[in-house]
Amino acid sequence: MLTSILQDARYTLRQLRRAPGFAFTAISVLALGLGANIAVFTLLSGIFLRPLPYADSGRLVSIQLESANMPAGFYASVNYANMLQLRDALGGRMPIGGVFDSAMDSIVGPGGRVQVQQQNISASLFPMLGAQPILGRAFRAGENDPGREHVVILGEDTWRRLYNADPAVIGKPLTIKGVAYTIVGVMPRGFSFPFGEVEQIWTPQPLTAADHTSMDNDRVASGELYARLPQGMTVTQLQADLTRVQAIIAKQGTGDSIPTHLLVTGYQDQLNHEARKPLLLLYAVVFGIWALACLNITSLMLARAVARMREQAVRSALGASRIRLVQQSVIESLILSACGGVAGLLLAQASIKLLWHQIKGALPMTSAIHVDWRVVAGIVALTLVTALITGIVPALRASGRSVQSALHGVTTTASASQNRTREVLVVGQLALTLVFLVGAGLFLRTIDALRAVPLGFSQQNVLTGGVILNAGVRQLNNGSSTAPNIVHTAYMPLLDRLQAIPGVKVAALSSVLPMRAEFAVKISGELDHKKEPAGKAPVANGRLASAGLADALGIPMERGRFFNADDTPSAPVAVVINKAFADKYFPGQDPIGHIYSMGKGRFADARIVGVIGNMKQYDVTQATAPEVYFCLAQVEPGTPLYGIAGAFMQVAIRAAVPAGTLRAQFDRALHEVAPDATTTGVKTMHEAVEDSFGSETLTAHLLEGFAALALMIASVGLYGLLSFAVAQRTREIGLRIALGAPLQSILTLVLRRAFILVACGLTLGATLAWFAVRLARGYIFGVQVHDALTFAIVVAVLAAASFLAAWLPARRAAAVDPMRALRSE
Amino acid sequence: MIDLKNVERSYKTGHTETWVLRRVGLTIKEGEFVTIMGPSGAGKSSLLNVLALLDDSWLGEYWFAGTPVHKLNRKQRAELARQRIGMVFQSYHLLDDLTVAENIDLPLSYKNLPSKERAGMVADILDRFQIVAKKDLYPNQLSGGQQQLVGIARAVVHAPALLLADEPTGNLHSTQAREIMELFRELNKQGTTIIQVTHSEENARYGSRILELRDGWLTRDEALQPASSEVGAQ
Repeated sequence: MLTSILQDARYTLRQLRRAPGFAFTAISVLALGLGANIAVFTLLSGIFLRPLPYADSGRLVSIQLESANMPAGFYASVNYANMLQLRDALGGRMPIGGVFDSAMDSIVGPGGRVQVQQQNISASLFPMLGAQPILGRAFRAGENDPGREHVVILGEDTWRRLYNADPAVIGKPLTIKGVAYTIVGVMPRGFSFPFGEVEQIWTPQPLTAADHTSMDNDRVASGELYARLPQGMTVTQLQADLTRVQAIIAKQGTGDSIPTHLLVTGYQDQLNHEARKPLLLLYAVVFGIWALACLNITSLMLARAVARMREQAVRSALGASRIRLVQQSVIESLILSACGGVAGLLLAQASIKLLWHQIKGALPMTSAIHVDWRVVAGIVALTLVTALITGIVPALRASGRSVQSALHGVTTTASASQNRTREVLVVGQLALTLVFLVGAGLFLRTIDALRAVPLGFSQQNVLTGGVILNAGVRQLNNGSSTAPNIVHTAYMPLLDRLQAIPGVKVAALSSVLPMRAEFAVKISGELDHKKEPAGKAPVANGRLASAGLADALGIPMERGRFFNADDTPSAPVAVVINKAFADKYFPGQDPIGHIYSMGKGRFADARIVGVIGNMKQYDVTQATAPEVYFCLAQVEPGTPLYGIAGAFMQVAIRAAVPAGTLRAQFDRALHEVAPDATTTGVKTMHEAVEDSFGSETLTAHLLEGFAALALMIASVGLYGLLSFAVAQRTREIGLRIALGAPLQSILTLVLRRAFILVACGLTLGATLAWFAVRLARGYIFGVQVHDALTFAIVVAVLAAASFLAAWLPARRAAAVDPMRALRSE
Repeated sequence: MIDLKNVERSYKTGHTETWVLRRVGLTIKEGEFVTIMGPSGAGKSSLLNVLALLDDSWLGEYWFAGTPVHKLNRKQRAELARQRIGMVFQSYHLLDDLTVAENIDLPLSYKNLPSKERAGMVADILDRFQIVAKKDLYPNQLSGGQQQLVGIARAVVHAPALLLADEPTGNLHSTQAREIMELFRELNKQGTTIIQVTHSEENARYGSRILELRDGWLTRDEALQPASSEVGAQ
């Protein structure tokens, strides 16, 4: 058996060497079909199939609280006392861990300065994850006690960069935001938490006695809660149990701020949730591309089988059994598929590399995306299935023919049924291609529609970036009025420096910039001191902004004014609302001069000075929610919104020059003001808008590529079929020419057949597409799934490509030399 | 060795049925060298296909060395052909992508023989047919006579009891044809039963018996005197 397989393989390789055109075409088509599958499967495997690098990671869950006050997709953080109550309710069967603060730090070691992600965690987190340091130890239970929290564990990559992988690092001091810590451990290579971050460090969150008991979210530590699913319990059961417990906690708690709804999600599901829809759509598409490639190769193999009828007959006459003949054909298709698979793998890797920026922007868990045994197993399985599908049909047809007829030359050309089979395959290819083209067309129009949505702000020459000062978040959050005012020590000087950069028209700061959804604060206030019952009070997205923001982003003022230099700390507190707020809470009124109250003191009498135009916030497809802007210059330590200023601010710089050229100057200006400050996500507003399209852009790019691929494959299929038909009918065509047939009639002879096939393909494809596009309903925007223009353009493009594919063989037929054609028979 | 009783074969074309073999009955003994002759369309090749077990759609009885072929299924017939019959074709039917040695090895490769044994058998036949020097050449590097020599070597490499040849010299010039017919005579002397289809009286004279077909009917069955080695060939 093995000998015969090797013999067939050797023979196949020799035949492929002798038919390089066929080999190249077949391997290229298979490489495209398999490569597209491998690329998407690599993404799927990394994001959905690869277990996270934690012990028994399938049992790791995230527990989130859903608050009625938060916009969709945002969750309330869980305070520590709430975490403990949920844990205790299950009788200690559910180990938990909390991640409280997350901050960017700039730290210095023998390896130089490194920007790291600091996570403040509970000491119970690492034991719950089943993670052990490779050097040193994990945190001890008491290290969350205030005063004992100055210990740090480094991520392996941080340790490598900062300490050049020095094994004697344990016990060494490390200064983080001016505070001395002692390094107590180094985590293993590849470990990260939250998953996917790089260059992390972990420090214990200081948890006071009040943190252990108080449910007042404003005063106690709160964060994200993770847990290990108790043995014998499913996610749904845990969700039901904890929801019951949370309802009791909310009932027993004081105030109405304790969320009653709770969501338990597998941690991996939580991470990959957003990728599910676009990746499944893409997988459906690449599956179609693979089917198209299989149809094409089967068609090619059928043509080849016709050309090899005599050989098959000789083998049969010399004793080859039908199974043996099939085996040979399958081995040939296996070798072609294997070559296609290897080429496809390379192609897939190159495509992923090429699209890495979009993939990283649109998909989660990208650090897990690489070729592993699952991808290799997938490639092998797909290659085998491809070989079977493309090899077995032609083999069965070829081996079932009459040996004596083939040997005696009765059948030197393909039979009518073989031609019919190939015609059906070509019609199938054209139909599938039309479906892909329609899909790609709809996505292209979606991207166009997204780009055409009025954003309410200008994208041109605006650079944006996050700013994290090195002031210590906890220090800022303590509400002390004696703390240094970072607005005056850092932000205002930063704005002065940015304004001084040549080419900068205006620079401004805001806690939230459009299309940069890093941060969300919902605030609830009173209008004109009217007390509303809980749940009826005006709720809006709260923002801090400096004067100049409206100019920097080009947002028009509907009424009144935006903040200006007169809005000083000593001036009356000014607020600006957006049009959505005005429409919702001041219908038919002029809001200017009304009072918006927030907390006590000066902010209880904030006066509305302007109504700014609506702008798109997180997503261009969503309606604008009410917003309230407070003036950055007026917040001070001790005022309600000062904590926001300390946590995170964003810069918007409008320039007279291309915005991208200002990155280095922005960085320099920030470090002049605050040497240890860090920037995050510096990008132009145009990039931020494009990134906000997320998976739509990636899907559209991939669909464009796949549709072009499909068009190419189907055109090659039609061309191949007609070329073969012309070659088969050379004698007949020669005879017709010899008998006086004009050029026109020969062209018509070939093109008429092509026309019928294309018409069938387009009709079938349009029918299929009519139903298939319903699957895309949830993915497209601004265009109807049955958009007539898209259908019409696609049909025209495919018809044109098909005509070209048919014209070349028709021309060849018309150029047949009658003398040679007749002599060759 | 071969016993045919009332063998008939017809082809259907639309509503008409064309008979190519009519009630053929004949016996061929082991070691005979039989020539089937007749005009075009007489049924010669059809009879050869029946004898070669390439055709399944005939009626009547066919006994091969005591085995009732008419009672065997397709698979059993194929196995019988694989073990006992060799075929030589007018157009040689060598596979273009295989070397001389590989072409000769082809029928052996379908018999599940160990590769060492196969290599030995191929080497023997190459030596016997004096074509060792050509073993690595491809068919298109050989003359027509040499190709037919390889075709015969391939047909006899597994020592078949019956060698069937369909116009074996039809595409060769006279000198090459003569050499091929001498080879057949030699194989026949060594014990191989040979049945050839030919139009050539000269070639027929190499055999021991002539059968003639006309319109599907066996019209002549004549034993020949042993021919001299000087007999010519077409």
